[in-house]
Amino acid sequence: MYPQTKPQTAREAGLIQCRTCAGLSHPPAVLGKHEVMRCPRCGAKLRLHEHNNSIEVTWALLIASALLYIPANTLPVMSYYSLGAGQPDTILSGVFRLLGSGQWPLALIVFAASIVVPLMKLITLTFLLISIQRKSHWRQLDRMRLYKITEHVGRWSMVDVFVIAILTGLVQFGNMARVEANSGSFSFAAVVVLTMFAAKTLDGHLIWDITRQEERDK
Amino acid sequence: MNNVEIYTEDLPDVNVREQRWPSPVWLIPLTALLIGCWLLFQIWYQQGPTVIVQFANAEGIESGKTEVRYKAVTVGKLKKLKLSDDLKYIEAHIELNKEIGSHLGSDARFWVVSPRINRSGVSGLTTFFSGTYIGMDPGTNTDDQSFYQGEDRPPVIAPSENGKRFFLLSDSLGSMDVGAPVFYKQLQVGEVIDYKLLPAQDQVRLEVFIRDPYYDFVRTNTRFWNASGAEFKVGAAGAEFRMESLTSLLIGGIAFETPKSIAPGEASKDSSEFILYRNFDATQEKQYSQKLYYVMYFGGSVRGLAVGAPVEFQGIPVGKVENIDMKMDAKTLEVRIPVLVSIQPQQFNETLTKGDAETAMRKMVEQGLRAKLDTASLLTGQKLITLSMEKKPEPAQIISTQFYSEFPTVASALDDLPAMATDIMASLQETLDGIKKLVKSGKLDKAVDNLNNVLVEAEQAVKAAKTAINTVDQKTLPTVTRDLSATLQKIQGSMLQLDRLTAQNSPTQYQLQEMLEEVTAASRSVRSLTETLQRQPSSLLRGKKGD
Repeated sequence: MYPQTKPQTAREAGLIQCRTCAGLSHPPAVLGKHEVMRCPRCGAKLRLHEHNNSIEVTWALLIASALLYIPANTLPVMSYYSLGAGQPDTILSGVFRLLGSGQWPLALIVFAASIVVPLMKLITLTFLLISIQRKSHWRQLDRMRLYKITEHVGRWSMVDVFVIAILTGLVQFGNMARVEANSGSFSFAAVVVLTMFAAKTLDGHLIWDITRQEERDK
Repeated sequence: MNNVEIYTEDLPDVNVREQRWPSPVWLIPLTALLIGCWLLFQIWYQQGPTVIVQFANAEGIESGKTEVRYKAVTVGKLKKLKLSDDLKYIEAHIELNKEIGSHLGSDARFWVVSPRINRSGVSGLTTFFSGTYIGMDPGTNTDDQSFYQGEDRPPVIAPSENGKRFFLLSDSLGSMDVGAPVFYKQLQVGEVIDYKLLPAQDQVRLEVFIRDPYYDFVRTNTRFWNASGAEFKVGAAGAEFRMESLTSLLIGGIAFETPKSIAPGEASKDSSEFILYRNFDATQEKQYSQKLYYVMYFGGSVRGLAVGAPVEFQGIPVGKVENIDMKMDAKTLEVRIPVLVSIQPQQFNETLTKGDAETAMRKMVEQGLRAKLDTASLLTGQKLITLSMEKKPEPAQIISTQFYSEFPTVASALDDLPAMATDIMASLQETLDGIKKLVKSGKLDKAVDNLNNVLVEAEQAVKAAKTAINTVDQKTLPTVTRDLSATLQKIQGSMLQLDRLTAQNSPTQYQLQEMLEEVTAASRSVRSLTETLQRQPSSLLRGKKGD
């Protein structure tokens, strides 16, 4: 019933297909270091499967967010002034302030959502990227799960940013009480957004790339 | 298979182009890096020098919280508090921002501002909410220094407005403080900016700042007085209440005015010196530089005479009591009370010089000028010294002594009273002595003998008269009886008239009764007068007491 011969792929036929206009063309045997391939029909960029730029983009976003993570935690994110008294708080000093006033559940939430989650995301994505690049076989199923969790949990860090945004808008009673957003909050928002994009750009299939390659090579 | 091969050969080759640039995705981390660097640069840029300031104690200041302010702008923060090695001071590590850091000089000053009531009430009150802060003044030069000595009170910061400074000399600081207001016609025109004790003069010198349009009102003859609190005074002229403003009631204040009586002087120069008078009244007194000091000895008590009591000449104050002392001669045990008074001779004549004044006083004393202790008020018993020309004075003169000249005094009217009483007693004694002498001389006995003889002679005369009457009776009686009856009839008529007069409703009787009542009342009041006099003989002079 089924054809006896295995259907040939473009790759097996030594061809490359344009993802934009579906035109097939011959890739050069050796590609120079700074050379890119373009479709002879529509001019779109052509990539071999190994040259998926998902890893590159993810790295770029990840590094950017890691860089911004430093000012996000060292600079004050919000200042609350009540009756003329008050001062800017960093995320960590805010957590300690909450702890000092005995509101430890709240402190725990802020600590988890604003410090642990972004940090874990950075670590997880770095780990995934490195493991993909090293073509690791190690617990691929678990890594897949880890990736899914990272992708979903990331957005919750935005809660902090929304809280600051809402408070800054609402609590403006002059000298009685006043909330101001400080430069740290912008860095923090950038960290959250960039890690979310990094998780999105990372292609989960790449975890299984090595397995597919091995199957092919058999 | 082959047709596939053939088919693929028709396909074109991939266009290969050179791309030296990496993917534009890397612009994102580059931007992040730039932002991060910019933020770090900003932090570094804002970070100024850290200085150590030594304070006596850390009252009210808190590390990490206390702000450093210059002109009410936050320019730094207290980072750390540390005790000095010898535990005598605290060292405050203060982080200043770049802005102020570049102006920080070696003469910069730091002080702690705690909440307190002063003129700048609002900004002072904010420390109730914002807490104590550290005030600073960056100084004038820009020599860097990292160790400063904290001031114990806010230093004088020259107000940036236009104005003039004046110095006021006062015996004491009173309730004055830096920031105390200066009033002109109850308008705040300036403030006290500094005070200093002058040890050489034993006086306090206050520095006041008067703002732009108002300093012209400070003339050379302007008088400043302490308007602190309220002044309440009960004097001979009645009760008086004076208050400059509610603020001055709390924190004190100074007021000034140019007296109307004198032609206004020229506008005062910057940094002129003035005397700060105790109160408004003190400024109203005519101020003369020249004073003559005299010592006066009054016989008897000086109760009611206080230091500062006036010396008056015909009701015009010409001086005052400066001191009341007590001196006892160790040998004779004689106690004298020297009263030191100052007299301003220019009250008599403004052109008098000191030498002239002294000779003038000497001459006036030779003509009969004497000092007398007088009662200023019967109610309070206060006394004053009056200078008056006596009609027939005992000759006296100003006695020059080693220290102050002695001014002759006379006893006052009240002091004369015992002397008068003594005089009366003496003359009474004389009279009694005369009577006694008369009794003892024997003349009285002789007189009694003579009287006896006269009586005997009289008895004989009466007997002779009896016999004479007996002889007369027998001859003259009938005629006499007749005359008598006629006389009786006449008397009867008179009696009838008298009856009418004395009748119940006769006007005479009524008038008589009226008169009697008047007499009764008069006698009663005479009795009460004598009783009062018996109880309080002094009431004859001082009037009734305790009514």
